[in-house]
Amino acid sequence: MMHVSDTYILPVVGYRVWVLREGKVSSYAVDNFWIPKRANVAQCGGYEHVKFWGPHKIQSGPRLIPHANYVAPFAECGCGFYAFKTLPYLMEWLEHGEPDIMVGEVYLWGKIVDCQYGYRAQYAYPKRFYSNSYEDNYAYNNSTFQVREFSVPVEPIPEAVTQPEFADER
Amino acid sequence: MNVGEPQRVIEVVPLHEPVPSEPQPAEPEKEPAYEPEKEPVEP
Repeated sequence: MMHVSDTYILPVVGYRVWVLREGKVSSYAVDNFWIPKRANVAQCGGYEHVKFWGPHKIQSGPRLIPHANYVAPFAECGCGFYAFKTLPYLMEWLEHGEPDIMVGEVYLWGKIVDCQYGYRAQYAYPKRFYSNSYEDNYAYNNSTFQVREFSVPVEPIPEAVTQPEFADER
Repeated sequence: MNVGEPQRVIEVVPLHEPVPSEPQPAEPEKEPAYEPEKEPVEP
């Protein structure tokens, strides 16, 4: 079992996607609806409570093992709020994007599992939604009431998005 | 999302939660305190 190795006072910023599902802002891979103006708290109930969405890369979902909610994210489990460390990492992962995806930046704090290419966090809140798509097939919906409810900036995605260093390694 | 294998676990305790707060209702304007008119002082 991994123990906390360092403590910080500034939130970590990562890059992730959301999707509009049932008229609400949801996590992309699972039905987890994000709440405006409140810290969103990670919970884990094991596989039997999770329905995975999305293309081939996430159909099987992360490895989830039973443990108490209060320890989410558990390093040995696959739970927590996910985010990539860099925007290129995210865009490489999104090679088969879906129409209603929203890309953006997210604040992460609390207990955080620091992984090779990203994070899994206990608490999360959107930092910024990107208002334009990276490519045409990443259609973007930036004018919804649901997004505005989070009271965070909605801005164009940075133009200089290069390929991640590990893209050729996989 | 495939974020790779866990490397370490950290704790982030921000001084302020990065969550926008609800707009606070504006305070009603206070009426000036009543001051009785002073009688003119005879020279």
